[in-house]
Order: sequence, then C-alpha cells, then structure tokens
Amino acid sequence: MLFNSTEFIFVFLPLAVLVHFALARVSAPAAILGTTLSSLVFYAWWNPPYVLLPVASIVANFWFARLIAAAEKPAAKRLLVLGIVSNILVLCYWKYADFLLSIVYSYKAAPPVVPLALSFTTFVQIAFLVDVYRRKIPLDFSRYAFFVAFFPHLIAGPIVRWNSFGRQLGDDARFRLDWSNVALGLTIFIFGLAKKVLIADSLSPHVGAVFDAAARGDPVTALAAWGGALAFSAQIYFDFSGYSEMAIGLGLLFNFRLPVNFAAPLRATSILDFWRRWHITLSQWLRDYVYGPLTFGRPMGWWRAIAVMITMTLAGLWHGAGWTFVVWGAYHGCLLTINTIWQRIVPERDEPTRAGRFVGWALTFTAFVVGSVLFRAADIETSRHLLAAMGGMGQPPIAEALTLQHDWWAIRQGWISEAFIRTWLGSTWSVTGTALTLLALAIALLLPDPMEITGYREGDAQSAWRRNVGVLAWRPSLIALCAAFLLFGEVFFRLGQVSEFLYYQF
Amino acid sequence: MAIDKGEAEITGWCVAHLAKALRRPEGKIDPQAKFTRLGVDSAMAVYLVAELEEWLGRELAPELAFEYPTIATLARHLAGERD
Repeated sequence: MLFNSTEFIFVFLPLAVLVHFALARVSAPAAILGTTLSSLVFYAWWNPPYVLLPVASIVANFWFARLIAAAEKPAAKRLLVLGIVSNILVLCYWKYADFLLSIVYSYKAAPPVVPLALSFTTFVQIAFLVDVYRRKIPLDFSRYAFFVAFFPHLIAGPIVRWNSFGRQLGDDARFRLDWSNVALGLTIFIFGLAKKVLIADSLSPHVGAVFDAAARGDPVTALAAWGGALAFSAQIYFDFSGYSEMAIGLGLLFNFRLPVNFAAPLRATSILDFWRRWHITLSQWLRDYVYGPLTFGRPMGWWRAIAVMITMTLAGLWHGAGWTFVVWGAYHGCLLTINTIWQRIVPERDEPTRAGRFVGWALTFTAFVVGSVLFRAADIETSRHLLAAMGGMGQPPIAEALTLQHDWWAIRQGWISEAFIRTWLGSTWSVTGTALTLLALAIALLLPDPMEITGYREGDAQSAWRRNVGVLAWRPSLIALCAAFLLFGEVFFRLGQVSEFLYYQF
Repeated sequence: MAIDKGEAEITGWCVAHLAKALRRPEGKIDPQAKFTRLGVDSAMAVYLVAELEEWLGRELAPELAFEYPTIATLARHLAGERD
C-alpha cells in the first residue's frame, strides 16, 4: 500500500487514526499496541509472508538490547558488536548476496528483491542498540516495537532515533487528539503528495526515455543527456522529499513529530552544506555511527579524508547493490574531501559575497546533477555513455522516426520543427521535458519549501537555511484550508496512476 | 544535576576541550572563529555538544553547534538559556 494510493488515503489512514485515538481513550499502551498492529497490516499489504521479517527483527533486536543493558561493559560491547553484525548479515543476505557472488564468479548481478523497509529498519535498530550501550535506555517492548514499526516512517524513513521518538512515546499528552496537529499534518501531507504526484511523476517518463535509450546504447545528444540528468535530479528530489513530508504529516496526525529530512537541498552553496540538507537523517546517522567512531580521538588530517571516503562509499552501497552506487558514494566522498581541504586553505567568510554564494551554488548543483547520472543509470556502461554525452562527446542522432510523442502538438502548431528536435534533442529528449524540468527546478530553487511555509521544525541541522515567507506562512485558517483543498483536488484526479516511490527500492 | 555556568566559564571549557581534541595550544583557539575555520568537522561538533551536555548536566540538541557556529555564540546561548 502506497501513501499516494486511494486505498491508503481514504480507507487505511482514517481507520488507523480512529483506532489509535479510540484505543488511546482506554490507555496509551492500548493505542501503542493497536497502531503497531496497524503498521504491520500496512507492511503485510505488500507481501503478507514477508511481515515475519520485521517482526522477527524487532523481537531479536529487543532481546539483544536487553542483554546489552543487563551486561557489564566488556560483555556489553561484545553483545553490541554481535547485534550490529547480525543486523548487517541479514541486510547482506537479502541485498548484497548476489552482488558479492557476481564479483567472485564474474557474472552480471540481477537487481535484488529486497524486502521493503529492510535498509531503513536495519539503521534504526543498529542506532538503538548503540544508544542502549551508551546510555542504558529504559526498555519496554511495546514502545520499542511501535518505534520501529510505526508505518509513517517504516518503509523509507525519515530514520528516527530513540532519544527523540522514544521520549514522545512516554508523554501521555500525545495520546489525545490534537486538532491543530491534524490541520498541520494534513497540510504537510498534501504538500508532499503534490510534490510526488504532480511533479516527480510528471518527470518520470522523460527521465526514463533518456536513461533507457542510453542503457540500450542508442545515441544520446549532449542536450538530451543534460536534460535527462537534470530531470532525474529534480525527480528524485521531489519524489523523496515529497515522501518524507508525507511521512511527517502522517506522524502529526498521530501527534508524533518525525524529523525534517530535506532542507531545500538544491539551494545548497557547498557540498558540505548539501549533505546537511539532503536526506538529513541518513547523513546524521552516518556521521554518528560510522564517521564519528572512525575518527574519534584522531587528529585532523589524512585519516579524516579516508574516513569520509569509507563513510560515503558505504552510503552508496546502502542505496543499492551495484557498482554505480559504489562509484556514486565514492564520488561524493571525493567532493566532501575537496570541500574540506578548500575550507582549510580558503577560510569561510563570516558574510559570503553574493558572487561567492552564486559560484558555490552553481558548482554544488552541477556536481549533484553529474552524480545523479550514476545514481539512476542501470550500470556503469550506461552512466559512462551519458556522462560522455554530457561532456560533449555525444553521438549525432540517428535518422529514425522520433520515438517521443510529447512534442507533436507543438510541431503541428508550427512552433518548433521536427528537424530542430532531431538535431538538438535527438529521439530521446523533448521540448516538453525541457519545459517541465525547468519548471520543477524553478519551484525547488525559487519557491519556499513546505517546511518553511508551515514552520515545521524537528531535528534539522540549522535554521539559517529558512527564509522569511511573509504572508505565505501557514496558520490554521479558512484560507489555508481552501488552499489545501484545492491542491488536493489537483492531486486527486491523478491518484489512479499510482507509481512507487523511488526510495522504496533502497 | 544541572549546573549553572557563566558565558566566560563555558567559553573557557570549550576552548580547552577543542585545544585537546585538535592537539593545539589553547591560545590558537579563537572563540570568535567559526568551528569550520578551526578545523572542527560535523562529528567533532556533535561530540563537543555531547561533552557539554554531560558537563552542564542538562540536555542539549545534538545539532546545537550548527545553529551557533562559534564558541562565543554557543557559550552566549548556553549561558542565556539557564536564565
């Protein structure tokens, strides 16, 4: 069941909220149990037998946590290591076994069929075990099961931490329906839904045309390659930030605050800034549980650069079992290292100039778009094909009929000629794709972000990124309700064409 | 138990802590300089806040050093917050 499906929006969600608050009138533990079960139903909708995996994982990790909490330091550390390794082995079995075998036996690995949510719940539970080891958290199985399984964040994050979410579960006031949170939650949910359905899904066929052609080895012009890369950059931003906002909105319906996951990252002015704003909860997880332990107590220097490379390569691998993801992670590791070295050579100004900020933004944005080719391409050969085209080494288009239908209306009107499209865009990119991509990027770069409009804050790294939105600032009112209703109306008629979120595959 | 500390005391503690972490003399740690300029990376900034949390005996947001990006602004915020 997807957040953008009619059965979720009109059946599952209202029922789940009603059951939660009806049970909350009995007691908070009853509501926790009820919503944990609803969350497992939500998961089982995709593939019923697979629900045993998160159930077994929750039970096993809670058992590990209890053993760690009860043990003295040296034994607790051994148990922690065993717990982390067990989680990683399960992830490796489902996600990386075929990839690793393909390296040993030199064959082309098929994309793995990974049980939904496995990558995210693995990170949530490893962080919990480490936190139990460090802080001796009071343990309660029903709260822990809810913390991991709560359906708004279960499948694709945001990655929650016990120190924030667990504390909310201990607050009885959160189990009373709060209409202001319902209003805010529905508004943020609709914003996220609109990002996904109206923008990301509109870009999807244009992205697919270019990347599929490159995978087949068809000629791709430079403009088509750049168009495809830019369109995918916009698509993945709107898809994943839209998903994260839907999750935050759903959390608020239940009176729980999930962390902000995107802070208008396409406006970042350095790659360090970008990673503080893109998939924030993953960056923070990697910082606290991989990079931090690797560098703890060590001086600044080469080791830190190596630690960044290790961390980012692992981040790449976490996204998928394939060489494109490994190279994508290493590429971002290189960019972060270059950025850090640059900061040491040219210290950051307290008040950067407008020109400096623009150059920083242009370099960061271009680097992100180039990297996105690796993220989307089916294999290294396809990414090489597209990157070569982007570098001006594209092949001339072949004299076949245009395969895309998008621009025929404009050709018929006499606004553009078929020869123009064939020469500059080839048979894989279109004027329509260009217009949609530019519109999407303009929205991402120029319009205020839903987190800015609604003023929602939870765990985001800095407030400096937020701009004053003036009269657009959200407050519960009739005008805000009408605006949300209109936006939902736009989305409603597209709900029939349900498409999966890109991050479900990770 | 939460301990009240003044701005100067918190500044001194941060300078001493970072001097040790960065293996530099305390005189080389400028409280007005941005953490990034001092060579403090994101993980080190989070550890600094975690250590501060323990020393002050009160809970702090892990991302505090990104919100207040110099020792001076961080100390001013923490000293002001207790009032």
